Amino acid sequence: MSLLDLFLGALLLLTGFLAVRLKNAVHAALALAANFILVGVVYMLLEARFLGWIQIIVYAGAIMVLFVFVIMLLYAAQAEVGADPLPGLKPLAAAVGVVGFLALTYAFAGAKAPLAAKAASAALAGGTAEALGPLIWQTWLYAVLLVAALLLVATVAAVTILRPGEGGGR
Amino acid sequence: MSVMALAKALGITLRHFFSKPVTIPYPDAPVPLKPRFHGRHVLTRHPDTGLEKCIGCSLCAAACPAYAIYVEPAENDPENPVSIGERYAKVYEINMLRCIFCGNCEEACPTGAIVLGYEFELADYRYSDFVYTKEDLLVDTVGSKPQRREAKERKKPVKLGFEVPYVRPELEGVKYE
Amino acid sequence: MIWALFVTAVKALVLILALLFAFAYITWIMRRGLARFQIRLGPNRVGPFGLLQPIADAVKAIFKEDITVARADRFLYWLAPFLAFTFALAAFAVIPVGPDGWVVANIDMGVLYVFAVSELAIYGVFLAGWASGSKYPLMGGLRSIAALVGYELALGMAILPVVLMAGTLNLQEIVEWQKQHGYFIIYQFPAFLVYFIASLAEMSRTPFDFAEAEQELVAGFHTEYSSMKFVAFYIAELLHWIVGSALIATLFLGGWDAPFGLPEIPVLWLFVKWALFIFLVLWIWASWFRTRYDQMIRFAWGVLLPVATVWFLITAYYVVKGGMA
Repeated sequence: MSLLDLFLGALLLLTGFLAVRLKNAVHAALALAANFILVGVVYMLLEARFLGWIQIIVYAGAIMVLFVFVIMLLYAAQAEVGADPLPGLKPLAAAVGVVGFLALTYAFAGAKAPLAAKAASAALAGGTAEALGPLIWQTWLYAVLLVAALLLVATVAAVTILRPGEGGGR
Repeated sequence: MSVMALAKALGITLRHFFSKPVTIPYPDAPVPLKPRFHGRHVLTRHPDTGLEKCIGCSLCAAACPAYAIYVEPAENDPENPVSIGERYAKVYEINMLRCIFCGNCEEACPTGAIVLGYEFELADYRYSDFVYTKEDLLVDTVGSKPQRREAKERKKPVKLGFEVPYVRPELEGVKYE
Repeated sequence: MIWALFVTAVKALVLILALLFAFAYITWIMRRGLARFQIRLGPNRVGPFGLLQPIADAVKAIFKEDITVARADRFLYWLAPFLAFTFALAAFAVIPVGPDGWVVANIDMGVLYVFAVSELAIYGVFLAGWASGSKYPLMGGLRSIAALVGYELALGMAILPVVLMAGTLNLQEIVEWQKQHGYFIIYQFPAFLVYFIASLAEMSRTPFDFAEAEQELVAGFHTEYSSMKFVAFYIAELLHWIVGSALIATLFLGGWDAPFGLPEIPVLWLFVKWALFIFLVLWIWASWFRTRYDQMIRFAWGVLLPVATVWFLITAYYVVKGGMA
């Protein structure tokens, strides 16, 4: 746990907190994008370099851009003012959060120490594309194809549902 | 949008790239004007006697659509006539900011006294300087008010920034244009 | 370790200064070049041949009044030009200008770095549009996102065959491969075409300069910006042009490699190839008109992406069959 790791962890927590608590949706989305970039940096520090770049390119660069695009398109930056539809949920959510945190602490307290990041990452051989390629396309090929099919189904479903005219329910 | 059309567009601009620009590098080079250009007015004189052609009839002031001309006539002194008729224009002023350079005054003038010349470098700084008097407009005067002012300050002759193929005959006595 | 950092810092500083100088004189090239394409002279009053014009422009811009519109989202309004400028500048760090050490950051996955930076640069554009709080910049910003993301995909698809054939994501090694085997413009001509067209869109250059379509959007996403913040956007835009041209020269035309066996001089050959693309983009800017926005999006998703994908599959087949994998 070097100083850099602590610093990054603190920044991750801060941006995550801001992403949830900022009132302006565009600011919150930008905090989330910063969070994703920091996660990419963490991946790179853990020697999973390819994954780190992909995290930045795909998450912060494409997904968050489109997210903010939708917010801007719908002028949805300011939250709508109105009554909370589920008033009893906040204390319940807080309770679940506390219980979950305690459970995780108990689980990690009893676990044996993980491999040092460097040693574990050595197995990744620097996390370059050359190292990941055989893993994705040979060892875990069917899992990758399954995920791809899932994404395809989701895309087609989204387009079909939102198609104007005689398409499915709007 | 076919690829051929796009390629032809590129060809046109490339041809332009290697041809000589059509820009006239004024003020380093004179602007070529046409002979009937509507520039600053000139009050002409008769070539043989040297008397002014203007008889102070104010037809130009009446014809001016912008009310830019002010004429005050006066009786000609028989021993020292200024113009060839009975009267001459004692005060003749044109407000260059009101003038629209339409040429109605030139068309209305019965003696051909007021004629539109070629000078266009009339830009100046104060409104009051734009009311040109008879002295500023007479045919003996070369250059506009700001040009003459700067020429006097710099002790150089007035340099006119244009050239014409020929001076039209109505502009009698105009030499340097 | 410290020494390596120091050397990198010096290289980075030299690169930044070179890029800013290049930006200033690209404005001169742009104005004089466009003028010659339009049979007129460009600026020629300030200094011989107008060479001091960029300095005069800079002085004028500095002394302009810096306005912040009332309805602007202050934090984003300030942040957007900073983002645009920084990421445009950052993209050049991985481009090798000479053999071995002549690169600021020889990242193993240089190609991915370039992507990441291009996508982060999009943030500057649409945040500016949003933060200005008025409709023309917002429209400009939204149009930019949709178009830039779409063309970024085609860009990525077009680079993949190059990466496949070279067997590496490292830009220096791609140049070395081209030095040995020949330039990618020969082996990957369809990819080059797709990459060039998508690059024009990424640079927001005609025929894809939707973001600042003056006839439609006043000045697009940077309408409400003045003085130094506007200069930051302007620098970012021209830097995209500069960096994009350098990238095409590196990926498809061999980078710093000297063609036809001419003597190898580190910065010179990349400069020549880069200048070729600068001229080409300027020529296109002077000659063609803007595509309609929906035509442009349809072109990206319906033509460029399928063509790039098919070419990628063809290349993949040949790479595997030819045993280059």
